[in-house]
Amino acid sequence: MRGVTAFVLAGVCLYSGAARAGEFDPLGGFSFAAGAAVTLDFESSQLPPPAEPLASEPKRKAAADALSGGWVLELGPYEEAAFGVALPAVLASYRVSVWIRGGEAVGSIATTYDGARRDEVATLFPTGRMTSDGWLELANEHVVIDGARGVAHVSVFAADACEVDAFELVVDGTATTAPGRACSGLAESAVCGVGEVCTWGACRRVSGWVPPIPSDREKVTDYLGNRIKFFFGPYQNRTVDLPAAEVAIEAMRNAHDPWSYWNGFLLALRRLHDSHTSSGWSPADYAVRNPNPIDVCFVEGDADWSQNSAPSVEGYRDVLVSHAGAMRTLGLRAGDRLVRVDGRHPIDWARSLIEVSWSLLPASNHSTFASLAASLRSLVSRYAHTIEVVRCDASGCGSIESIDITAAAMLAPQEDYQTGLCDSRPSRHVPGAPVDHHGEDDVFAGFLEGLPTEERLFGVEWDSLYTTTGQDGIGPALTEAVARITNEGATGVLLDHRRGTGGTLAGPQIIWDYAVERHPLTFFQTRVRAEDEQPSLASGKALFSAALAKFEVDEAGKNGAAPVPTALLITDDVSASDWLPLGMKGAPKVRIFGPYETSGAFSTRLTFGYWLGLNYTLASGDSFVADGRTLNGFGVPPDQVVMPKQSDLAQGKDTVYEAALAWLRSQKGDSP
Amino acid sequence: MRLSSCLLLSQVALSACHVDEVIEPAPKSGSSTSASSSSSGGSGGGGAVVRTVSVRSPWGGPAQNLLADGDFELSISFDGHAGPNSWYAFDTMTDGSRYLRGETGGLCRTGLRCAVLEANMVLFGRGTGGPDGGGVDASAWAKPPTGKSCDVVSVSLLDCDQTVFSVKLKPTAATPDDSGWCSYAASIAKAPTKRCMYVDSNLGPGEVALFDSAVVVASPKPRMDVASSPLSGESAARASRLMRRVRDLTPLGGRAPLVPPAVP
Repeated sequence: MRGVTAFVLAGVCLYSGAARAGEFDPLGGFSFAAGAAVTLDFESSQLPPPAEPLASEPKRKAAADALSGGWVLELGPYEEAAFGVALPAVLASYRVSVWIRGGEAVGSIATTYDGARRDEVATLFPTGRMTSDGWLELANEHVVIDGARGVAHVSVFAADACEVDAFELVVDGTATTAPGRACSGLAESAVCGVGEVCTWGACRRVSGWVPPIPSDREKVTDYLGNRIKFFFGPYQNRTVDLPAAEVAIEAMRNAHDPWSYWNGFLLALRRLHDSHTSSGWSPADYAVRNPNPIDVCFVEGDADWSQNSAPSVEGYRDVLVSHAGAMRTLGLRAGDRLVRVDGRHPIDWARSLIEVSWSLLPASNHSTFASLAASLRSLVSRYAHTIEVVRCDASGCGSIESIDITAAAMLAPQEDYQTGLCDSRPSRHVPGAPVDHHGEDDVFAGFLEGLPTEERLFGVEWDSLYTTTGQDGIGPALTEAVARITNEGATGVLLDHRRGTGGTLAGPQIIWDYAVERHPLTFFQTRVRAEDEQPSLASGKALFSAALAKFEVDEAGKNGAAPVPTALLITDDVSASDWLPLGMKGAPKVRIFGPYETSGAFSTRLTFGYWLGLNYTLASGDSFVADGRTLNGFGVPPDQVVMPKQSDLAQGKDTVYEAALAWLRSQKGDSP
Repeated sequence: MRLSSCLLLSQVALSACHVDEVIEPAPKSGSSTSASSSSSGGSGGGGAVVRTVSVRSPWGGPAQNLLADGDFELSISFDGHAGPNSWYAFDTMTDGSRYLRGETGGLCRTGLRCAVLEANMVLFGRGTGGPDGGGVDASAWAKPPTGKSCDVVSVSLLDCDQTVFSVKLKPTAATPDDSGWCSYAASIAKAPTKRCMYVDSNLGPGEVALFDSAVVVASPKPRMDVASSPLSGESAARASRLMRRVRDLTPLGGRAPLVPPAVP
């Protein structure tokens, strides 16, 4: 074996002809493709520097069984190698490949046209080519790069320790249209080509986010479709949404390009309309920074001050500015109204993005859109051309005004801007809570600000319910906050969970143990068979009873709980943040305030991950309650429906908070 | 933020294999992912063979597999990060979770990924039930350490929620085949509930076995008649405990007590 390796080391090209990538001779020796535009086998200790230098140089090591030459790069767990690529100064389409061995790694090639900011990223996925000594090829095809305008750099990131060798860039076609051509929002994506989507005012190649279409597409399509059919659990969503998902799966069979094929699968997942079921993320979501951030947060509400100029649209609530940052606000402020985006109601427009937006996360129910409203900031920035708004101040509102999003000043290439959280909280009311809405995963607790000390009304604001033991994650801080309610003599407590990011049942249990008597809550069951239909109430009831007898029903609360009057504020939630109000619903001293029911995400997740580029998650089951109903797809309604009002927001008031505060004050006599 | 840092924020997973891979002449690269396996190398010319080259589907299969990811193609994640949960690995000494290491490429039986089974480790693979509660055929492959027989690895099919039902998959041979792999198989005439796979071993300290190509498919006519050989004793008790651990480990696992609460 070493003899032949030496043969390869000599660098003799054994393949003649128009190779599109490196090939192996009959003895297994590797050689780069003839005419490859760029090759790199790490024989030199000097790597072309990447656009963003690493803190430490990648390590090389001599390897007699290197794929090409006698050296490989050596990466430890969580280490990255990055190097620049000297591109020919032409517009071209490339096959980009690199080989790895010994562990999980992901490769990518990023292109920068403005000298600083990554404009496009293509992920290198496993092609299926492998060797008996452990080498795997990662590659992508038809990566269009304009070498006359931009620079490219390659990154290989190791999840586990691995070796890297034989990077290669080979022309695999002609490129007729340059990347990054100007466009004006998703609605005008026709100017973009196949495999491109208009994002942030430019046609960007999303085809690089996905692998090529498998040559055995029928088998792969069947397999992927069956993952959904066999394992997606929620009954209501299967009944209502699975047919539309199956249409997307069928369309994969006739897709003509990789983006259409793979986005078709992810579209099927999005069409399942479930908060636990997600179509993953793309490397570009992280690697390509938003050049046009908008720091304005939106909520659904009641535009009571602008009905004359812009009547509400049937089927949707009005969309209002909840709060805005210090800069990049388009001049919008709390109480202003987003009337239309590219001619459509903002939520209707956002829902239409299901075709392209991987990160779109719906509620599991089919009637509320809190998470979409909170996402509008980034969606508008990314995909919109024109928005129509109504500006208001404390005295009233003006007429409809149009704003061209694509004309907004972009960040300078080196400039960065951090936006605050869109947390469905127009204002913060607890000491320490960041008024600029920056920071998350913290628990803020204390007596509510701006009230007379003698009122002793305590507040807790937090988002996460993730803890596995009570001693990790949010557990200690939430436990301490709850203990302070009693220890500091509160007469009422306001739990502001208007942004609920979910977690585990151990999270809400901390609140339940304080606020409610112990009671059976839900029986969760992962899907049993693909063909199972919605159980009847009688069979669901029998299932719950049997689970109760076997101690498999999850319980909420603690015997002897003696809370002070407790107001829970909800708006945008998922998972454990659905269970939290479910466990508190109907408790004697608890009242839930919010604009509408919770998401209804009463499941757990089954997660699949593919080479850091195509991850997806399915809700794996459904939850039964004592009367036999299944819960997924049906949220927990508030006890008191309170919609944020435009008139309040424009005058600096927080409608939902004010309603909860009024109730707490009315309960004074009930305090222990 | 560097891409690598961003990637760490997310979960990961990997690849696996098709069971119907075939050997074909040397593959040419540069086209789309190949479905079937092919290999080259060592078939001509003088000199020693450096390596053989093959092409396998990295997506998993077969399409009708009732296990969520029997090929492990999308089941390997970063150590220390929550991620794919088609398979769980547990420590037999503590019942605690362990990192499921993956092996790559031609070292696996099929596809690009397979699991590394270590000493004192069991694997629990999530699955679902066949249509109408009918029969299923189950199979899996393991590659024991050199010199060990096939019974060093034990593969069982369980009801996912309880150990009342379990059946061991029998090794089809006492010793590994020429490639070092052992196959295991069983059939069940009736499978009214969802089925999961449970993998145990007698590996010694430092020894590892590869595990791959686990398949459970519905079968109107189960292909073999295998007498039920349920887990028993400590194996059954451990499996029962770990099933509950799986339930607790899912992102919204239950909080119900492991044993009935004491009656005052």
